[in-house]
Parts: sequence; structure tokens; C-alpha cells
Amino acid sequence: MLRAAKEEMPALPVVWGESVLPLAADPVLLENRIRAKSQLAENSRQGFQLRSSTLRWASSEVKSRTALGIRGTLYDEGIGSRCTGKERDSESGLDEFGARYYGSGLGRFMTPDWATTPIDVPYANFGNPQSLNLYSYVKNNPTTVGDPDGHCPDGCPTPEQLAAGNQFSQNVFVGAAKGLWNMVAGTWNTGAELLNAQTAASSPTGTPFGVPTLPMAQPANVTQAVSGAVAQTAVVVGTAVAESGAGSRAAGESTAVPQEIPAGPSARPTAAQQSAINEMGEAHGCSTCGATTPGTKSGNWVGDHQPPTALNKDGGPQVYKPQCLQCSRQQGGQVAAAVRAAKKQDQPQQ
Amino acid sequence: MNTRQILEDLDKHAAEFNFPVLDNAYVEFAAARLSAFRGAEDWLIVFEVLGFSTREVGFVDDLYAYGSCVAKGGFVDAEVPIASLPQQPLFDAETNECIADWSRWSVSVGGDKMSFAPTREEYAEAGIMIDRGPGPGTLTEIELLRFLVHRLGERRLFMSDQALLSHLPVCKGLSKFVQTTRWQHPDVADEERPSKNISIASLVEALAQRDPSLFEQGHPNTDWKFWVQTT
Repeated sequence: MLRAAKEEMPALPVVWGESVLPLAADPVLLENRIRAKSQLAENSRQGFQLRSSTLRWASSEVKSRTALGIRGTLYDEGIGSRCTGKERDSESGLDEFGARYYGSGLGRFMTPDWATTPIDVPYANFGNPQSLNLYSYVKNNPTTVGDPDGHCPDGCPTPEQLAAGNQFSQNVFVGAAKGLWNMVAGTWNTGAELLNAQTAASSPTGTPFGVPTLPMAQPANVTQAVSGAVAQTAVVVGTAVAESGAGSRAAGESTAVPQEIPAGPSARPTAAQQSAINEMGEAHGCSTCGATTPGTKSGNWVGDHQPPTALNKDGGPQVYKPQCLQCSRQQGGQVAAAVRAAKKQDQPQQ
Repeated sequence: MNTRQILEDLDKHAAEFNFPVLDNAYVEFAAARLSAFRGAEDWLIVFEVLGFSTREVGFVDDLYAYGSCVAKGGFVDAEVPIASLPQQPLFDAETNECIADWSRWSVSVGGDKMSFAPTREEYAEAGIMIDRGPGPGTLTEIELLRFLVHRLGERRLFMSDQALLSHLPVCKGLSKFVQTTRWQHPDVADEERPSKNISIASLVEALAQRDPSLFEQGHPNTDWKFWVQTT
């Protein structure tokens, strides 16, 4: 197919002295890809610099982007979209929803949800644990659900409706939901909770009553996957490789399979952990680019240690996420560069 | 596309780390090979990087390709140059930890079973220091692979030209132009760009001029000892 495409191309100005080197198969496509990937790579590098606690700021210009992180940068400089449909405050970069401000860079509201009617969990749907996170935006499903006022995705019950119901039943529901939440999050997202704890100072992901958050719950598409990756601003390295929606998982798929599992105790996955990584990969695809196949000869998904061991100097908790081989190789290069840069920083000035 | 544009293209791939990084944090490095092919119209540059992938827990021969017949230059695939034998596994089935004994081990190379019982001196000849007693788990995977590279030579572990080109089915009618395991590879992790690297720049020029003699090895740095593993 590439050959056919190439033959249809007009002659290219391919000159080096008297010699000729033809261009790769589809020049327009190639150039577009290079431009897009270059921008993403640049954002990724800048993002990495922002996220790595081992690195110092490269410049004040980069530093000024910390409020938004990668996604904010992409939105501000590239897409320019206000996909929430809300007005964005030019100073803070936050979207004004009426009830609350939303940080698109974090993919989270800046303050917990609230209600005029006293209630344990405002606007929660106790059948949906996603709604228990008081900072989440449209239950982490922005492609299909909107939020008109900063309180509640379309169609959720109002506090008044809930308050009018049986308070006892509601408490039972809350308890059950909390239990389910703890079971799921405690079992599968322990690492993520701990990592979130590391970043709590910069990322308001906790809830008032101590319910663990779902920090990376079910990216619905590539855009959200990138957004979700950015939400883990302090720990994820080399994520902005996403290129297109092709091959990524559809919204709402595979909600029962976790996004990540705790890593350890050794540096490499056990057979059981590898099995779980494969299950996550089959369910969600590559956590970096959304690819649906791992690209390995063994058929195994690569277990992406986050944070990468080489950058986890404090020996903090790590998680495994499924990753495709291509992303793993690129990330390995990024980590090598980061380690090298950190070593340079650590070297005493001569 | 002139040579400058091609080198800029390679630079972009390097900036994205979609170019061989010999001290890749996830692939412990053993050896590398550079091959270039030229046809009536097409040209192709292929890097192979032999190593142990700590994340896949397996030996790999990574393939990176760039050229006129490669729609998306960069990482292409990873072959498996050597494998563990079921009867004498190198890895624990449950923990995936290496259980090789430096004094005696066996592997499958290209489907052939090979057994080795090297001495400390033989390891030392390969640049590998063994300062522990024998027993399970006393040899790391990368030590094993580096020893194999030394003992068997790269030819046995890298892909044949036919196998290599089979990964790039669009590239046809190409003849081998340059092939070497010794060249000056850009230090991508330190932001060295291919366009500034004498080996890569001269190779592109040689391809353009159809003159292999223009290729310069520079100061070869493709021995594994040049690269400090960052994991």
C-alpha cells in the first residue's frame, strides 16, 4: 500500500549535489506526524521537567506553566479549545462553572462539590463510585457527559431529591459505596493512593471523609488518557505520546479491570503481576498511547513501573501500568535522559 | 529531501527518543549494529540494538529503521535473539528473577541449544568481572548476553539481512551498502543530535552520493562499556 502511495506521488525536489535521496513514503503525512509528535515530545519533555522532583526548573518560562501542566499547555497553545464550554479565567487558567472552578490541566475541580442542602456526598450516585470523588469532572467521562453548573453531570439526582429520600437508606448506600470503593481502590490502587499522597500538596485529590480517590479512573479516550496521565503530575514520565484516537479503547469499556496494580516487592513483575498487567492491557490498551496490542513477541504487555525505578530515588511505592513496546522504548530513552540530566545537576560546580 | 532535511528528520526522531538510545533505561545494552541499504531509488538505515529488556524480562534485538521505504521511521520491532531453555530455565517461573549459574548455563541461540561452562578468566576476557561463587542466581542476564556476544560474535546474534529486511516488506530491491558494529553513535540521552554526529551525517551523505567510502566511523563507541546503564 505504501508502495502504491509512493508511486502516485509527484516527483520531489530531492537533491543533494548531483545525488538524490527520495523522501519517505508519504511526505505530507510524514511531515504532519513529525510536527505533531515533535510538539507532543516537546510538551512531554517540558512536562517531565515539571514533574520530576529530581530535576530543577529548566527556565522560568517552563516554571510558569506549572499551574496547567501538559494538558493545559496543549490546550492553551495547540488546540485552544474550551471543550468544557465554559469561560476560562485568563489569569488562573481555570474554567468557571458557576459553582466551582475547574482546572483542565488537572482534570479536576479545584474545590470539592457542595450543596445548599446538608448531605453527606453532594450529587453522588451511590451506584457509581466515580461520583463519590468530590473533585472529579463529569465522573471522568467528559466525552459523553457535560456539566452545566459545576455540581453535577447531566441527569444526576439533586441533593434535594436525595435528601427527600430515606436518610437511613442513603447512609447504607454511602457505607456500601465506601466499602466497595475501599475494596476496589485498596486492592488495586494502593500504589496510586500512595502516589497521590506524595502529590497531595499540589493536587487536591482527597475527599472530606477520607474516601480514597480514583486518581486515574477509566480514561474514556486518548484525550482523557493524556489528561489522566497529567493528573499524576509528579509521578508519570513520558506519557504525551498519544497520537490519535485510532486503536484506542472506546469510552466506558472495561470498567471492572483496574488501570494499575501495585508493583514490587522485586524490580520485575512476578508471573501473577504479569498476568494482571496483561489483563489490564487487554482491557484498556497501552496506558501511554492507547494502542490495543503490546507489540511484543511474547504477547505480554510491558509493565510500566511508575514512577520509573531510576527516578524513584526515595524508594517510594510504585505501580504497574500496561504499556506497549514502542512507548516503553521511548520512555526508556526519556528516563535515561532524565537520569543523565539529574546527574549533571548533582555534579558540583567546577 | 536533501541530506540536511533527512538529518533534521533523524534529529526529530532522536528528540522523541524514537532513535536508538544505547543507554536506554529499560534495555541493558550488549551490542549494536548499523546497516544501510541502497536501491535504485530507495535507501534504508537500520540500527539493531542487542540487549536485555528489564521490563519485558527478555533478551531483545531492537530494530530501528529510517528510509524512503519506511513510512514511520523509528522503532520497528524487537526480535528475540536468545531464549531460555525449558529444561534449564534462566528465569524463575514465579518471580521472573534470573537463576542462572555463572559456572554452567545453557541457552537457545537461533533455535540451537548451546551450553557453556565458562571460567572467571573467560568472563574477564569478555570484560565481565565475576567475583562471587557459583550457584543459582549468580549471573545476570546482561552478563550472560555480553559473554555470548564476546564468545559467538555479533553475527550470530544479530539478524540476517534477509530477516532484517523481512521486517520492512515495502523495502525491495535494496543492496547492502554499509554494515558495521563499530561507529560513533550519537549520545541521544545527552541531547546529541544525529545531524551533529559524524557517523550518521557521513552515512547519509554516503547514501546520497552512492559512495560507501564516504561513511566515517568516527570514534566508535558501540562497545557496551561505553554506556553506563541508568536503571
